[in-house]
Amino acid sequence: MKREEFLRALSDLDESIIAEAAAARLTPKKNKRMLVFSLAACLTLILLAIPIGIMIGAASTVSIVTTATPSTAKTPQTAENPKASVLDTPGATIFENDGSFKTDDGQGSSGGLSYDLNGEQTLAWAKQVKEENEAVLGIIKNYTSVLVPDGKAYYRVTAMEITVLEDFSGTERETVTAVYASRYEWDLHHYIPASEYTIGKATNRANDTITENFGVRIDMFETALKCTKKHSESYPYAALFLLKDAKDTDLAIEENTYHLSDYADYVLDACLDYEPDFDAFGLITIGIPFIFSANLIREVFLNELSVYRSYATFKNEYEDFDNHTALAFNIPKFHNFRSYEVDSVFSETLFTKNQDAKLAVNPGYRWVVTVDGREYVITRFDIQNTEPFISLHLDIGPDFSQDQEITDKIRLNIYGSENNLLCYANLSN
Amino acid sequence: MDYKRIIALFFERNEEGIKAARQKYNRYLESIAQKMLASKEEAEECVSDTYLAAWNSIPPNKPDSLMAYLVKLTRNLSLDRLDKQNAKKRKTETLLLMEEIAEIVASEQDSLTDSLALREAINRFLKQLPKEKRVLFMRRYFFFDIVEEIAKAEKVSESKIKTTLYRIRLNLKDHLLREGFVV
Repeated sequence: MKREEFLRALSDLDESIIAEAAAARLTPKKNKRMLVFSLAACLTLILLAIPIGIMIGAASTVSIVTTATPSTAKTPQTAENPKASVLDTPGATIFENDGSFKTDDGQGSSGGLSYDLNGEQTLAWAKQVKEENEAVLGIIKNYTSVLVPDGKAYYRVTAMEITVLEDFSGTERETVTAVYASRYEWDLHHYIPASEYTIGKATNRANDTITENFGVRIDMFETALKCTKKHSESYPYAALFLLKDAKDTDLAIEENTYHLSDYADYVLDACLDYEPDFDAFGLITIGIPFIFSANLIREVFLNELSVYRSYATFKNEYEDFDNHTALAFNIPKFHNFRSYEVDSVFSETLFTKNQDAKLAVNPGYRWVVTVDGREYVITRFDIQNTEPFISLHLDIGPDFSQDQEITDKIRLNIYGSENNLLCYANLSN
Repeated sequence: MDYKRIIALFFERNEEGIKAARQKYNRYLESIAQKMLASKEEAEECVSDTYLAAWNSIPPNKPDSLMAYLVKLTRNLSLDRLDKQNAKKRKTETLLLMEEIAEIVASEQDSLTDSLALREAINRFLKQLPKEKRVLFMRRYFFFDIVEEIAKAEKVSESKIKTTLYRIRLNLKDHLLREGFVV
């Protein structure tokens, strides 16, 4: 069959189909982002509902919290204190609206937004939403997204472990892993999404499905899973999602439903691929508990840096110049450097606006490399922009001997102006 | 004027019908032709030919939707002209669209495809899609709307549109293969 035959065949479709599409073209559509926004709001309320539900008295719901949040739950709500709060993630960096940072102390007062919501009403509302949407309730236990270079293109592979719950009582049905991959291609100016793949539930049919149907390399998948596991150890957090259309054990993602992958992508897009007309930051700060957004942003940030760790070709060679020792890394070039500049959260930019991706050290920040646990201050950065890689040269202090054998970990720490650790990335392979 | 009245005028062989149709649908039809042909002049000629074709085919045909009927005619006439254009003349957007279609129909070989069966197979496929996706597919491959334009109208990101279209293309290809077409 030729393409022309196909195009001709479309002309002869049922008039009802043509008329429907013709009419739709003439009618502006409702804002889908608002749907996402609504979902985010729904998630907010559900996140709020669980601790509230616990307080309301169902003893069995305790299991939700212990399962969902290896960290802690906030101070329970009471009828006298109708302000709901959000789940805690002690140790997490909290990015405030004004761009400042602080660390969640896990005591229930440092992070998150408060909502003047009555717990019972919230829970009832969440139940109604669940029912109306024929949704399955799930807890994301772990989530990660890694970037995998593939020539000039790259994949973003997102993996998440989701515990599907029977209902609001917290009875667990099963834990599954869903993987979602997007391919981005360079179009001379920026990376654009070229295709997306849903790998679906990966627990028992990962390899065949991935290689045969999606062409996503196994190593990407495995790395994504590995990162998921790793992150779960370091940064436990959980979120509740309504997994619409998730039937039984099959979590194959339907593109028309807004659940995790869509949602996560929206947030990631906002973080990584800033578009002026895109209001996802509003979505983050308004629609969902801030602690979660903080984590997600932090995850994104760490994941970006994790590219260094996971995929950068660590050349394992040290060049001596200017009396400093330089560690050289090849970092896949993404547009993300640019995105940090425009993120309001990162208003004190860690990276310059220069498209050549000159890395700048904010005067208020201190970048440190630790090698085998010992700290070396980075005295200079040098970036070489060679498509599709950026070579990052970190000049570290003269006390670092180039003869020193690196046996274990190299880590990049970024400290804030108050010497607080903002974030870090492991650079070791 | 109500489209049923316009059809009635065609049946009465009253040329006021053409005038009324032109008044009601001209802009819409021209926008479709222009999208496909990338030439205002050719689009105008194409739409004029559309009314002539409609005049010659109504009666005996009595369309349920005059707009859909005229759109089909315009599209077919535009495709005729597109066939005559060489690749260099075609606008980038059309080439891009053809590449996307190549994901469904990769073959460039002449075949003995039963056009009626193909049409019905596509009809069946589209009818089982949710309306949203069906409209999206039609906008892109029937009306030749560009992705950016669809995204704006639908108020979603371009990536979302591209992704959804990509999945629809894959599913349609599967559907056609299952129905025994050589794609």
